[in-house]
Amino acid sequence: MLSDEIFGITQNISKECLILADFEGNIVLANKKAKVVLCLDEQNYQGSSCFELFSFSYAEDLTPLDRNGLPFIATLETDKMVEDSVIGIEIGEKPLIWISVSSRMIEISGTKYAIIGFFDVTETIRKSQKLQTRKNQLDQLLASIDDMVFEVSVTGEILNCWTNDEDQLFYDPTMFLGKNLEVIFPNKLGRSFVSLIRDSLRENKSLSMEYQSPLEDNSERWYRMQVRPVYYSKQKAAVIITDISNRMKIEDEVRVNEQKFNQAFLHSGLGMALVGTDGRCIEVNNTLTKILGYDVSEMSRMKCSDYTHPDDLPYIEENMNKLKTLETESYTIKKRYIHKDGRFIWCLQTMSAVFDQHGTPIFYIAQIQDITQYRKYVEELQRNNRQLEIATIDLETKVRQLEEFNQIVAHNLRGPAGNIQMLVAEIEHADNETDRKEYLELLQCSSDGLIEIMQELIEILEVRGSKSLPMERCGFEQIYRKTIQQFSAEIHTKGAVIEADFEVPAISYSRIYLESIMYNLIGNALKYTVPGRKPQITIRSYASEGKCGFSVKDNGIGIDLDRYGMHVFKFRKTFHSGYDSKGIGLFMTRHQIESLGGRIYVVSEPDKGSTFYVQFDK
Amino acid sequence: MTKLRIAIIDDDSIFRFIFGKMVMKFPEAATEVIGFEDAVSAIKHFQSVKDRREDWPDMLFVDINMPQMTGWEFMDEVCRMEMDFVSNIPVFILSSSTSLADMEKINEYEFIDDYLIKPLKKIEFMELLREYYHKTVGSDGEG
Repeated sequence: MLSDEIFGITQNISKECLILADFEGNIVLANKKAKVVLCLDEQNYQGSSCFELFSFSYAEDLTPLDRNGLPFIATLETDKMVEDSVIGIEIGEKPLIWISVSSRMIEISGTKYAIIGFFDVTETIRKSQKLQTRKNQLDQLLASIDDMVFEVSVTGEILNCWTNDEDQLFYDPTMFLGKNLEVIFPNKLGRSFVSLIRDSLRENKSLSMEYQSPLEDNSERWYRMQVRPVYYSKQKAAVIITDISNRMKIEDEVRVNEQKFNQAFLHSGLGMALVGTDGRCIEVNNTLTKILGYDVSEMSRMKCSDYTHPDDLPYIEENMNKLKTLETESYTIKKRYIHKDGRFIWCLQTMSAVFDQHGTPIFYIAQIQDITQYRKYVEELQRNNRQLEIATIDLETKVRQLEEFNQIVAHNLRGPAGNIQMLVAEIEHADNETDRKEYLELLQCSSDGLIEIMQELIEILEVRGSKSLPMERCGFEQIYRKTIQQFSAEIHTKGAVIEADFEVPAISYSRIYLESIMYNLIGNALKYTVPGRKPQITIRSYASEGKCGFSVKDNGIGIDLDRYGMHVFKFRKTFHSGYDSKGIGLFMTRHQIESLGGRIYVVSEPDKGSTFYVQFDK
Repeated sequence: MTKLRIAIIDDDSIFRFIFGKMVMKFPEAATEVIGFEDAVSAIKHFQSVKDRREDWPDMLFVDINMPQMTGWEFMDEVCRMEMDFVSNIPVFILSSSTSLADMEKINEYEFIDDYLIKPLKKIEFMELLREYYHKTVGSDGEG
C-alpha cells in the first residue's frame, strides 16, 4: 500500500498539493500542502468530499462553477486526464486563490483512485490579469485617439489596428488585417505607403506624407500618414493616419483669402501700403508708387516723417495712438505727402491695424487716395458758387430795379396820360373858344410833361443797361474843378465854402457818370441850405474796405431819415417843399452808382446837415 | 343856398385845373372848389377850420400818389388828429393805380366812401356828384 513515506518525499519536493480521492471524490490521502491549502484537519480529513471542499469555485472570468464545472470531475467520471486547469477557489474565510488543477486516474491493487494535484497560481494569474488590464487600457488609449493607428510590418503587412471610429476605416478590419498595403491599395498610392514604411524603418526616423482619399465617394478627404518605427524594432512600424480634410479646407480658404487680399492689394485703384510697427513700409502697391513716386525698396527705408509734411506729423501721431489703443478701428485723415520730386501732394489716408491674438498690432494697412484733383474741383466749385452768388445779387438788384421801374411807369406815366384824355374830352365839349384855348394850352403842357418823363425813364433804362460803358481813369480833382465851375454863380451868391480832399486821386469809371454823380451831390448840397447859415461843404475821396469811397458833407437842412429814410433815393420823391427840385436827381445818381456795382447811402439830421457816402466797387 | 364846397388834394396842377372845371359844370348846384397842392397844407387848413362847421368842405377828394405825404399818410394823419368832419362828408380816394391792394385799402378807413380811378370820365363823375349831393342834402335837410 501507499505509504506516507512516499507522500512525505513528494511533499518535501513538490510544491504541489496532492490528493488521492476515491471514485466518489472523497479524499483518501492528502499531502501536507493540500491539507494546509484546503484547511483540512490534520487527523480527520479522510473522507471529506472534494466536491464539498471545492464548492466555491470560479472560472477564470469569475463565474461560479458548479459541480460539473470542476476540472477533476472528468477524471472521476470518465477517467480522463486533466492538465493545468485554472480555477479560483474560496476556502473557508480565506480570500480567493487561483489554483492550477491536474488530475488523472490511477489503479492501485485493482482499485481506481484519482490523483488530483494543484498548485497556487494566484500570483501568476494576478500578474497576467494586470497585464491584460494594462493591455486593455493601452488598446483603449490607442483607440481613443482620433487617428487610426496601425501596426505594420516592414514589408507592408497590416498586423494590427486601433481606431475609436470604425467608420473611418475604408474597409472592415477583417478584410485588411494580415494583408499587405500594396494589395489593399493596388496602385501608386500603395507603393508609396510601403516605401515610406521601409524608409522609416531603415533610417529609424519618423516620416510622413499627405494623400487624397483614393475612394471615389470620399475624394474630398485628405489624410496624413505618419510612420514611426516601433521602439527598437526594425521589423515593425506604427502607422498613424490622421484625417486632415478640415485642415486642408482651412488652408485652402486661407490660401484663397490670401489671394483675394493680394489681388486686392496689388491691383487696387487706391495706393496701398503695409506698414510695420516700426513705421516702415513692408509692401506697397503700384498705385502708391505712381502717386508718391517711390518704389517699395525706397519706401521700406524711409520713415513716415521722411514723406509727410512736417505740419501734419503731430496729427498723424495722435491718430496712430488711437489705433494702437483700440480706441478706434480705423481713421481717415487728409495729409500732405512729399512726392519723390519734392512737391506736396494732398491725400486722403485711411489707416487700420491688424492684430495678433493677444491684441498687439502686428502691422498696419494704409490706403491712400490722391485728392489733388478733388480739391481742385472743390475750389472750382467754390469759385463758381461765389460767382453764382454775385450773379444772383446782381439779378436780384436788377429784378428790384425792374419792379421799381414798373411802379414808376404805372404812377408817373398814367398821370399825364390821364390828363391828356380828360383834356381832349373837355375840348370836345368846350362851351367857348376861350375855354378851348385854355384846354389846348394845358394839353400841350401835359403832353410835354409826358414826353419829359418818358425821356427821363429812357435815360434811366440806359443807365441800367450799361454793360458797355467806356471806362477810363477819372481824376477826382479834375472833375471837381469842372463841377465847381458850373456852380460858380450859386456858390458866390450863397457864400458857400467848399473843401476838397482826395486821398484817392482817381478811379476807373465812366466819366459821364462820375461827372453826373458829383454834379448832383454837390448841387444838392448847395440847394438845400439853411437860410442865413453859411453853407459849408466838404468833399472827400478815401480808401475803404480795399475799395474807393467818396463823400459829400453839408451843413444844410438835412433829411428826416426816420420819416423818409426809405424814400431818399426813389423816383421823384421830395422831402422839402419850396425847393426847386423834381426829385429825380438822387434816383438817377443811385442808378449811376449801383449799375457799376457800388452803393450810396446818407447820414443826416434835420437842421444839422447831410453826408452822402458813395462806396465804389473798385 | 350855400355853394357846394368840394376839396381836392392832388400835386398834379393840370389835373386840379381840369377837376375844377368839371366840378363847376355840375348842373344841380353851384359849386366851389378848393385845391391843395399837397397833403401837408391841406392838413394845416383843416386843422384851422376844425371847429367851424360852416368852413368844412362838403366833399373831399384825395390823390394817393403825392411826394411829401401820400394820400394814405394823409388819412392816417386825419385819424390821428381826430378830424371828425371826415365822418360826416363823402371822402374819395383818387389814383391812377388799378392795383387791388390799393383799392382794398380803403376798407381800412371807415370814412372813405369810394375809390376813383384816373382819368375821370365826365359823365360818371357827374353821376357820382349827383348821388352824393342828394345824400348830403337829404341827411342835412338843407334844400
